[in-house]
Amino acid sequence: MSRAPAVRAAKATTILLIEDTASLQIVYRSVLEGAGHTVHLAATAAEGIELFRNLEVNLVLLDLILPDRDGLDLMKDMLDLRPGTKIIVITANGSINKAVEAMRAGATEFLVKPFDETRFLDAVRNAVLPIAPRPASLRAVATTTASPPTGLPMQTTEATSGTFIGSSEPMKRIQSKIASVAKSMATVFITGQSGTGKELCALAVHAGSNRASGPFIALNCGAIPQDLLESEVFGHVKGSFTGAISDKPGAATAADGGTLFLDEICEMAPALQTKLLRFLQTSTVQPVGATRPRKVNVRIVCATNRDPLDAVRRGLFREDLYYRLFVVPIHMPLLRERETDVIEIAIAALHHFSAEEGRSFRSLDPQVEDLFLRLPWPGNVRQLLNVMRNIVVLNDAAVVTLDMLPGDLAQDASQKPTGAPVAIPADTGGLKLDHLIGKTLAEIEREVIEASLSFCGGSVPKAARMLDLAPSTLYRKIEAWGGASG
Amino acid sequence: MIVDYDRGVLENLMRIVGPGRTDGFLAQLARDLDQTLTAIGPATDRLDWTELRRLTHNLIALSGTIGADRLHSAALRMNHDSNTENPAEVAVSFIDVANLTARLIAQLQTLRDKPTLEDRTP
Repeated sequence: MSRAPAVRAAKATTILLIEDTASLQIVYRSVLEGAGHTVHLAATAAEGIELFRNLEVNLVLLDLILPDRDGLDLMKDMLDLRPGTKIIVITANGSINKAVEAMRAGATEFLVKPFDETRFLDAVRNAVLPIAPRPASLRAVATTTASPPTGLPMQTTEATSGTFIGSSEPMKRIQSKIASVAKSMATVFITGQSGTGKELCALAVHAGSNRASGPFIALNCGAIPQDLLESEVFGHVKGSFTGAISDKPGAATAADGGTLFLDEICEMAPALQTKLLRFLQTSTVQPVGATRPRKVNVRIVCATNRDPLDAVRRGLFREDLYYRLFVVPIHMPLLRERETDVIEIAIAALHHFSAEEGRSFRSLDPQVEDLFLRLPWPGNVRQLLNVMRNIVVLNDAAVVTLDMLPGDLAQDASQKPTGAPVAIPADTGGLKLDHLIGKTLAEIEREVIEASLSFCGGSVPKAARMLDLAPSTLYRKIEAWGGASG
Repeated sequence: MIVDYDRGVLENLMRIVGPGRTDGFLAQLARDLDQTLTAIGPATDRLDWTELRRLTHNLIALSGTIGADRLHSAALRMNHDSNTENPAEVAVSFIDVANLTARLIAQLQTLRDKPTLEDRTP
């Protein structure tokens, strides 16, 4: 354990240390008492639970491998007795899987032995730190940084209540998982195809946590040019690079006391992955150009529509970062896998959009319901919401009938479900190349890229995936056209 | 003298613990290592995987805390062999672990026998 500069606890904390190795007890106790904390010691699980019952402790430091009982079982008993208890689990390198299991079961944090004094005290401080209310300016940052969540239009209400519309078994399981994990500091890793509601899920985790009054900052790692991403995440100081005309707090600082949602995490450049890992280990951010790091208290939720393990295998995503983030995975199901949720969501959206647009829609015709249940919905909930918005804007009646549906829906009904995140239109009679003759390759490339962007509704990350390009490459090309045409 | 622990790391630990408690700390460290060494042989003979996992976990923590890198690596290997319940490998890794632990205990004993904290500074 290396020596850090003298760190004093802002407020004394009563800690129960359950560790069976006496010399390590001496070291940990010295560090904690040196920082002003009160420490009660137990060398076995039996002593630990006894002290836990009789003492008012703010925090438990728990070695997962104990002589008389499995530390994980002991932790569960403690959480049953006092559900809000903060527990930091301590383990050695060989049993990290167990630590991850502990995080899933409600531990606040885990430390891998040996750890240095700074890391140890930071973990203790972060675990017991009350969540400070955020100034209004930071909320404004959250609002401008956040991308529109994928979900129902009444997402704010839903997120606040921590629920989704839909009573299918897959969604019940997800709601139950969110309820279990929300109160913990454990990192949540959300996977699922585009449009399945990953950000809504992240919002629900935030809303159900004890940091719900703090900011929720969403950052799309695939939508920001890689050379700006570091500044977006960690901030920068004035003059640190060309264009840095003032100090800017990054998303990690803006999320202090709340939740940082990193969407499309697998698109993050390797260099920044290293910095993110460091941030996760130390809870400090160092803005670009700053000389000193700054402490923040942030809970990380991240998401991707890729297979993260595949990204690790292909060397696109750091393995150590993957294991650090992939603590509690939540997989969002496809809309077509959510039984009759499609009808519940469609009706809720219909009522909401009708109120917004001044229409009188109330229900769906049974034929429409039948069609909705058969459709593959490759764009998932986002596609359904677009369809409902389209119907409400262009029509007005009490009941939605088949003739009100957008023309391409019936065609979709005959298609087989596909696992692809973006539906590619079928070839309709051979590709016409005549209009390309006489154009330069650069012009043809631009035309194809613009058509792809249009097909993907303007989403650069999606178009980049379709074209098998890095989103940053696509951004550079688009920026270059802007300069040429402007 | 060449030692198996990291002098800087152990010096820091002795300062954290405080001069008045250094003796007790070094003695306890040696005792913890000795107890683990005493128990790990029979556990290897019995192929008591649960006990081996616990003992190697202790060794990983103890050796890592004082920067005893060779023992730390050997203990990690043995812990892995215990997790995979591999009798042949665990028997091999036990030899390294036992030798390195015994040597570390002797080095800590030498350090403890020095009369003042200054003399003890590794």
